[in-house]
Amino acid sequence: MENLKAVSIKKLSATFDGNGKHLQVLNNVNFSIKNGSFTSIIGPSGCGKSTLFRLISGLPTKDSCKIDGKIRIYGKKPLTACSDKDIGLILQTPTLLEWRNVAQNMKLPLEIMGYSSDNSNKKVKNLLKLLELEEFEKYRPSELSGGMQQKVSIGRALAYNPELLLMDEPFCALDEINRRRMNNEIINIWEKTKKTILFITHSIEEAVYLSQKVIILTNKPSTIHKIINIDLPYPRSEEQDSSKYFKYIKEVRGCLDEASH
Amino acid sequence: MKQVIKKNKSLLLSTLSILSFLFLWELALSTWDVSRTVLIKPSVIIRTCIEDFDIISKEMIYTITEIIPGWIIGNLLGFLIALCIYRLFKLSKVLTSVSVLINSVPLIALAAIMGGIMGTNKDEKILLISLIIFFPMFITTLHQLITIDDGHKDLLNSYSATPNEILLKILLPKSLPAIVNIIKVSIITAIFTAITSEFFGGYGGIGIFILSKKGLFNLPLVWASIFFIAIFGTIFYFSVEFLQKKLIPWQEN
Repeated sequence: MENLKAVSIKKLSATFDGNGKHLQVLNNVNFSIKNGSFTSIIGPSGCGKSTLFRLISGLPTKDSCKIDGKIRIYGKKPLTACSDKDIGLILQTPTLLEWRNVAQNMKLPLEIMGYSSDNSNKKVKNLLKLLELEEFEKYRPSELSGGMQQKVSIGRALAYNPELLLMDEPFCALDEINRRRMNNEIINIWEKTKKTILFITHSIEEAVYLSQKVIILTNKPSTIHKIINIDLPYPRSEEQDSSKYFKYIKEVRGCLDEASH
Repeated sequence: MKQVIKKNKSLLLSTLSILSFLFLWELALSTWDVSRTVLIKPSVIIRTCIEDFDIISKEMIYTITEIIPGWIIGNLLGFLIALCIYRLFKLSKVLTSVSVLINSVPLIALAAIMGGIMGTNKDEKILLISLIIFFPMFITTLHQLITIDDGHKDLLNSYSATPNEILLKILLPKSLPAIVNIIKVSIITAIFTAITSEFFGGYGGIGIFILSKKGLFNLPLVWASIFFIAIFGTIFYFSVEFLQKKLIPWQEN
């Protein structure tokens, strides 16, 4: 596991064909992600980030989608990685089950994956502690704020201890204040759990603030425009006003402007 | 504590409005001279309700023994058959158009027609009620089962969940509010169907009682029967609503 790349993508192309339309979404995408790293993918909206996300996480795409290239998660195909519990998904919306409370929501994957009740209760208890959600254990999703709901959904993904967390714009529905808070939380979780995180976003600041590596995609058909390494120490709340931080933001913004053309 | 007062307040208000409605009705009839064949005073109706309690309740019980089995069988069949069809076939597109078609048939009119066609004994009436109630339940359940949130679907896919697990963990709990709602609404349909079909004939029941008393111009008894039906319907409806709140606590907010 240690030597393997968490994610490795080679010559990935995806094309939607059907109804007389021919739309290439991804074109020759190549990148790899080191185990335990935090990587963001950023690109103009509608550039195929979501398609890329679905392909990596092994989710079904439309029938008309033709895929070329190789995706490997710890050396395995996405679907195999999925059934091996290597991948944890965090989606744009928290998608919590409204009839279950916080603890029960986190238990959902464990129930499906056949963990014993004792075992899963123990796991959920530890998670609630890790995420500092203990006092909200019995709350229903509707009683929580959007940020908290997303935190529960992160807990749900962590429940079965996957190595790779895939996040698809998880905080895009949050206001600026909550978003910043959640950004700090996610860094905190990342440092505590040592998971590999692949974070899809359309916010330049979020990408720079969070990640070690920012992958910039071009417009359709998306290919990689540039990969920028963010060489700043964590926690970055102290770095935010440094000139280096602004330099990175400027660089990413510049690349994104070029990529959008 | 505050909530308790609030709850009682709404109960108090509804009781008050019913009482004042009856009072105004009484007042209007004492002020103006209205033919007794058109409308009678609520005080007369209530007196008849008490005096003839035995006769009316006997007829009412006959009808209730049609309503409740019909209501249970219709809802149960609608639910189970929808569940079977969902599990055995994958035909969401076809079913939505069929459901629109069936939904636009006025069931009440159908009840009247079928009440005339079908026989007059109790079993046949129970069958008729079940049939009328079946469709809304069937369609609602099916519709609920074939619509799933994309996020939930993706999530369960990533857990490699089987179709049965998706059904149990997501689809059924998700459908519960809509299904219980249909069960509640179908009470009214069941009562209506039972009484309408009795107008077409039968061996007993409140519908036949009303028809015969109307023929004899015994308006107080007719009105008293209507009161009985209304009270039964209300109690039935609210007891299901009470169960609904117990069963689906997450809908309260």
